[in-house]
Amino acid sequence: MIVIGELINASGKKVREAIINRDGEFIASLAKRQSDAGADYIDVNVATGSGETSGEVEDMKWALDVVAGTVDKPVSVDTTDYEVLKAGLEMCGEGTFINSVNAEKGRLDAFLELAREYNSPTVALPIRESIPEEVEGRLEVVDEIVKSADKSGVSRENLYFDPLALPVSVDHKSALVTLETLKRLKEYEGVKSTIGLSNVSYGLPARETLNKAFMLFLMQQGMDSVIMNPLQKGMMAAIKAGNVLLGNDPMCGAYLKAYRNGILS
Amino acid sequence: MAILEEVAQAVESGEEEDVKKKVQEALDEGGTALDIIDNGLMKGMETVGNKFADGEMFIPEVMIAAQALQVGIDIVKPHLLEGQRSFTGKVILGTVAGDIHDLGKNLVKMMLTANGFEVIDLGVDVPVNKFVDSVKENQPDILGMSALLTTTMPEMGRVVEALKENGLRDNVRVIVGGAPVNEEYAEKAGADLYAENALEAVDLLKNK
Repeated sequence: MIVIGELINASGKKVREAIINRDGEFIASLAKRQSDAGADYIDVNVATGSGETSGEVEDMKWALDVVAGTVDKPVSVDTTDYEVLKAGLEMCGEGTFINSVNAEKGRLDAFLELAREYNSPTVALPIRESIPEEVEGRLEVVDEIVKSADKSGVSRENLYFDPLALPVSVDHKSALVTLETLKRLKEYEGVKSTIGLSNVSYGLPARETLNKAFMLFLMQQGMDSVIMNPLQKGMMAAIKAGNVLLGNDPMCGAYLKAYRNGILS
Repeated sequence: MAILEEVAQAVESGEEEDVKKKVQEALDEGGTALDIIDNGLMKGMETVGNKFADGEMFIPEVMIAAQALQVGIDIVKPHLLEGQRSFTGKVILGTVAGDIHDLGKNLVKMMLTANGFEVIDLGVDVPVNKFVDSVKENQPDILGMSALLTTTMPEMGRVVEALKENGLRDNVRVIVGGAPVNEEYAEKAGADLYAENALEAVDLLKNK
């Protein structure tokens, strides 16, 4: 399970201010804490909304520089802007995660071209102009993205489809749609999966309880990656436990190592 | 009238059948439609809103209560006198063009409904002209716009401009919100109000 640490995101007020004020210490600390907690990638989103694209490119370069100077982990460049993505990939090189592409007009092909050039694992959202509510609708968009990716020469192993978690508080069957979408992704040989999972518990108390349960169901359906807050120890522990139970942790090595590192309690 | 308390209680617990029964009883006892709405149905919903704000009730429960409220309103509405309105105000809501995030908007919708507003929801990815046409057609008191992306946020300003061009700007108050939006940006976009979250939105719209 590849864990992408989501905390460096400018939609949060503190992070937004840190980016605007060039508070490198704050960003570095978030990178370090996530890395220490077991994140495999550090997501970086600098969309502060305060300026033009050129400013955002500079913000991205600055933040990536801070992260690279702090931890020895690859990053995930989180943006909807082509120029920002390009600048990020130029800095970080091959294997950098792209977060994300979707099927909205105009962006998909350009982003896929960068994904090919940098051999980047890429989060792909089955979204067109809206979020399809049903499994079939999501798969139609998956189909479109897979075809575009095949055409662009992006390897399928680099496509990480997000089956889209929506709040069960609003629609109590929404998690089932997510799980079924994940299951049906197997119709596309080679593609992988990831998920921004915490949305599922929006609007309900004791969110971590739901997030953990959902995580385990997703793992059973072969989820490859998750975008989450790695500082939530309970979630990281659930992943370790899930890996053992699904036979993915030979001789329980990772589980025991996590125990000794204090991650399980 | 004790029966109004029971109406409020029925809304709070989200029991549609109870609401129907109690509202009918209230009407039979000679209660006026306006009284039943204000001091029964809406009162119950207000309690729900407060409990939601305090973390004692949660989204699914608020949704059930809102449905029960609607059932009650539908029964009482035909009894309203000419010119009486059953709502605090009329609001048009939507997520701006290019943006499909609707969690925040839906929460605002729910809270406004819970506080007696009539809400017309235009959904997500709403183009400028759809906002304008809807304002023209429905003549709301308030237009609320949401955006979750810094890239789509400028749409808010475009809608305000289009309202001006169509001579509609002075007819409606504009409130905006969403993660990247702040007070400063709201002002720049020409909105009247900015709310940080759904509860603040309700507060602002009720009291200003």
